[in-house]
Amino acid sequence: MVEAVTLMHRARLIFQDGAERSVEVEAGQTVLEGALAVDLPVRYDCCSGSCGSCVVQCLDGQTVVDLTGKVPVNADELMAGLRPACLTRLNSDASFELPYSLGSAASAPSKHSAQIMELRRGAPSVALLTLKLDRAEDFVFQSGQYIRLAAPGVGEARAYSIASTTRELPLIELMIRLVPDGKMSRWLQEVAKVGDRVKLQAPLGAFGLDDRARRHVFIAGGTGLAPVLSMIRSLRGRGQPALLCFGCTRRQELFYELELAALVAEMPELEVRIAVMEGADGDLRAGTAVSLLQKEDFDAETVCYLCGPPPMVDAARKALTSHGVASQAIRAERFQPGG
Amino acid sequence: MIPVSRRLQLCEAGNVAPGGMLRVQPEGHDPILVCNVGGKIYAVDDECTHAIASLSEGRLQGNIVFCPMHGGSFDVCSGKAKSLPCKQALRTWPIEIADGKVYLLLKN
Ligand SMILES: Cc1cc2nc3c(=O)[nH]c(=O)nc-3n(C[C@H](O)[C@H](O)[C@H](O)COP(=O)(O)OP(=O)(O)OC[C@H]3O[C@@H](n4cnc5c(N)ncnc54)[C@H](O)[C@@H]3O)c2cc1C
Ligand code: FES
Ligand code: FES
Repeated sequence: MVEAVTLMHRARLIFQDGAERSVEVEAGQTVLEGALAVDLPVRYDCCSGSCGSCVVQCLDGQTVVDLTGKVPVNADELMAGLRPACLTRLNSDASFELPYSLGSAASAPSKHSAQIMELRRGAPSVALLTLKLDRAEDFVFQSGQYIRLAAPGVGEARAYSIASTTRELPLIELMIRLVPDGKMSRWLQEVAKVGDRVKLQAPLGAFGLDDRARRHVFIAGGTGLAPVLSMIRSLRGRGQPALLCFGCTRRQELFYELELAALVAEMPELEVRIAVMEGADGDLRAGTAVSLLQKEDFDAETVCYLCGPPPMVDAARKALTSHGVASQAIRAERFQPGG
Repeated sequence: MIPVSRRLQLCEAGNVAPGGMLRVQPEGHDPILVCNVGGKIYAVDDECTHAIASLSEGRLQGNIVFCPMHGGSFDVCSGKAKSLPCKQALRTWPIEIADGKVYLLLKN
């Protein structure tokens, strides 16, 4: 008799609110496909390894990650058990922790139309864009999430994190670094004006606050400030201590200083440290956002949030690990080009 | 039979060779993707149902169109989503070919 070969494994998914679901993952299927086959509201976007929306923490089990194309986590993160669900298959039953609640109020992603209400420069290479959604009645997002913006005449849509909170809806504030020869960057510089209409898909992504933390440390590089600013703004009134370490390359590229000072005045529980790599003076320190961290900034109830270009996120994770911060206490969002 | 109240000219049938596709934007209408699958013409929405991308910039392989943005795919004959991240079906449109021209049939 031929022995039955198990072609199917189970994935136990544990959400941030403690809710658990077990799904079947067939041989060849990804964990994400298994979860979507039973319509679980798991977060995903690109299914091609670039956005990072589907990253989960593996607790146990044997997994196989497809490393042939783009992968939204680095080698250290893979070692620490982070797994992109869209690229992960199972060789045994396995358990995963998801960084959001099953009962999350965030809407499922859908398409929206909006109008440009404001477009100004925070610095020569940073555009601050405010959009007004035509219909925001049923739109709920979680601070940390992003939108995909499509502009008329720009063939490809681009991901941008929301800097504002649900309180400001139907307005959505974005912080966009203008990159040389960038398609969306060029549109923002040369074509876009107040009153223009745009399309967007939202809300997307799984970056967000860990409700179980008592203290929050945010590390942002450049426009990586956007999602962490939304999270910090959403902490208003909770009284939980928060530290923001914000870094920009040059003094001239620094933006949002006055707004951050105003936020600190409003939130005494918030500390802001700012660094620039070139041209530091006054209260500005010389170095990167990561260099602003000290060992005393962390305790067992601290969760750290990293956001910015991939190399900055990689460096920040290394620094946190050397300060003894556990992998489970680190959340990251990478501004991968073309996500 | 469903009464057809209007037809919109999309293109010349000869403009879309077998295996080819063409994006047409009829006035006052969302862009349409005209596909030629082995000599038979199909019309579907051009915008991917996943996010915001023009399928005309992707690739047609047999009856499957692959999105240029994240590589999700649809069957252009049925509109059915065939691979993630596409889940929602693509809208298919009835067409008519008359005098060598492809028309989109709109019902009221
Ligand atoms: C989940 C997610 C959230 C994001 N949120 C934000 C956000 O809030 N703010 C923000 O500014 N960006 C954000 N990004 C990045 C953004 O989506 C675009 O990649 C970026 O704006 C470039 O788009 P573009 O069309 O102007 O340039 P493209 O036409 O895509 O790129 C032009 C050239 O510039 C290079 N390039 C792209 N980005 C950079 C960069 N940062 N530095 C140097 N070179 C670059 C490209 O590799 C390419 O060679 C996010 C990305 C992801 C995946
Ligand atoms: S959905 Fe997995 S990386 Fe985007
Ligand atoms: S936009 Fe088509 S697959 Fe994502």
